[in-house]
Amino acid sequence: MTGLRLARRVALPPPGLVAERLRQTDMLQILALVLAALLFVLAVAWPGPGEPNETWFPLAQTRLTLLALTALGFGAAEWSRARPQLGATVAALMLFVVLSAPFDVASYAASYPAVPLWWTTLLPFVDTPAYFGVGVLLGRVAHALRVSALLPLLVPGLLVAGIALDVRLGVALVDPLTAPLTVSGAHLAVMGAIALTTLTLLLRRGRAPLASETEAAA
Amino acid sequence: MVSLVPTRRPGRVARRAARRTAAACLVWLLFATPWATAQVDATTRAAVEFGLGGHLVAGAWNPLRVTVRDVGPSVLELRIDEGSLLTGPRLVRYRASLPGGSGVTVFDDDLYVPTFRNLSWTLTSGATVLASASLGVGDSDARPLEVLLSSAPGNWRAAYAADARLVDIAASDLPARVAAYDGVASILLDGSAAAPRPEAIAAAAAGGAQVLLAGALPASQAGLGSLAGDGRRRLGAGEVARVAADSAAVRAAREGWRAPERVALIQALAADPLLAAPPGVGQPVVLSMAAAFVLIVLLGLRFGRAPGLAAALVLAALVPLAGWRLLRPPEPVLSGSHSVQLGGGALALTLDVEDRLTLPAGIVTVPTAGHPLTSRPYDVRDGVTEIALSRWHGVSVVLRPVLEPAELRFEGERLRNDGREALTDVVVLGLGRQPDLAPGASEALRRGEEGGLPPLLARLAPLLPPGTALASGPSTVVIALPPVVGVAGGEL
Repeated sequence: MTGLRLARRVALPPPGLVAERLRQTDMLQILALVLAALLFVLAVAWPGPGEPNETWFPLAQTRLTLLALTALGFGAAEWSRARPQLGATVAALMLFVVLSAPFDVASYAASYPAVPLWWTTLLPFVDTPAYFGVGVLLGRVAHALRVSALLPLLVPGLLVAGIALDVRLGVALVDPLTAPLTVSGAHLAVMGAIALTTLTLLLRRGRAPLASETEAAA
Repeated sequence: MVSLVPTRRPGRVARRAARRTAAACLVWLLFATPWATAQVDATTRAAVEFGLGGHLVAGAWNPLRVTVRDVGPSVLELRIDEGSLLTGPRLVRYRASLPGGSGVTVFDDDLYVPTFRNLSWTLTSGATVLASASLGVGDSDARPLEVLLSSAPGNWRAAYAADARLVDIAASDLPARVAAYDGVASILLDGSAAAPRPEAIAAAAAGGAQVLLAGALPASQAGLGSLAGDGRRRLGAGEVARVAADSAAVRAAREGWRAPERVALIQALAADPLLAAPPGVGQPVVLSMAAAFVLIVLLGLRFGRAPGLAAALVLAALVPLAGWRLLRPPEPVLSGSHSVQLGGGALALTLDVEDRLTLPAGIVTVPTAGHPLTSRPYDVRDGVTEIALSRWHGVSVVLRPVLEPAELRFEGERLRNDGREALTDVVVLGLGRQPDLAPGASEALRRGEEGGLPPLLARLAPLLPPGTALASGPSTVVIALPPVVGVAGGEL
């Protein structure tokens, strides 16, 4: 019942809006950059004849890290937009996940890692909205502290801090670099909770935008 | 002078002493007897014996016998550390489940014992430890056993080299399993001790041991004498021979015998790995496909609007399916096996090597007991060998040797295929190539072309005596060791 109530209160962004968002230059350029980076990793890591195929490992790590960085960056940059626009950006980022998945699946097929396929398929769908939500929060905090100019440093810095925190704790909670390599319930719980909160806040019907237009103008 | 102290009469003193002794005995019976009974009970409820007559041979298969009485299901766990200071611990674990129950339960198995630094075992039933012990590096002796079945084994000491490992064991301790004799060089019977079972002697000979029947055996052991035929007969990888009942004759027989080097044969057999990692798809193909995918997606998104996005999504769904079919190796674990049958007469010792190559990291299993060809940790659990391997790694597992009817054998001046499969590449060392042999067919020996052997046969040939016949079957290499004195016809 709670799920049904929640579903009724959720408004998915219209496909036209998502397509339009994906066509915008910034999105397209970043997508091109992500796909080019994956192509580069594929070129570098693909083995010669008779050598063990280890391609999936660097490729899955690069893919998830780039998706996390992209989501974090877009979240921090667009925190002030209206909720439908933010929803469209999240949906566009989810399409990033889908469009980069063939690299992951193909290299998984050739490499035969011990990690199950469902994990490497599911993980970006959880981490991307979660990092987007964290990015939105980062943008608001930076704006409140009047350090928005430092966002280009804060975005990768936050990601590095997350990785450092995981290394310190010895648990893969938020680290996108090591998360694909082993199934981690803790990572799924933490990032799933953040992703769910983000999506619930962004896709709710009939509420005011996250930031007022005035703030956005400012 | 009259003493005030009453004097004790000798009879009374004796009675008191007797009473004290009786009381002491009673106390001992009350307290000590249950303890002693418990001790006896504990020692006879379970007995574990490793090796032939308790003599382990390192680097060989050894018999194992567990006897339990009136004990429920129990588990024997053995840990062998074959590591060194350089490599650190390298554990081999063996586990066997015993059904137990009322009465006596005997469990027999054969266990490969590598050269070890430490060996410890525990026999438990539930939470109760029935027996346990450990052996140190000093007990790791790789010298093969020279078994004496004699009531006066000391008489034969002079027949053996000074460093020979002579063991005197009861005939009833000889199992009838070929693997149990992997660490046995010879068995000497002089008829003075109880006779072993003929099948145990046949298993020992087939396993590669030289069985010497010294002197005239009593009539009760005539069955053993028949194994030696006219005086000397090859049986599997070993032989049974009659010798005179003196040390010099035994020494001469021992020095004149050279058993096939089984370890070298196995290494030659497994020298060419059967399995290789799947070749996979070349980099140019993969990169071209990936670049085309990226280009189509970006163009579709940039210029195609909603239909372009839909097309990109469809493509993103189809490419993984195509990539999976194209790039996925057929099996996560690849398997293969080599086998060599070392025959002499009607019996043969079969040595099998199973290869496994795993693409994901994990535990590979071989459904029978075995050990890796190269030293590495492994487990044997209830007859199944398990080896943990990292990604894209392979291992060759040497299986426990088994006794089988010989497929290829000499029959006078002929060579006969007793198997069910055709034999090709038939060659007799010293005589050259022979015709292929169909199942059940026999061919007269003749001089043939030398050389040109397939690589595997060429590797095995230098390890075998002249006159040996080799042939390739569909799944095995078949070897017939020559009759003991050269090739039939005395050409060699």
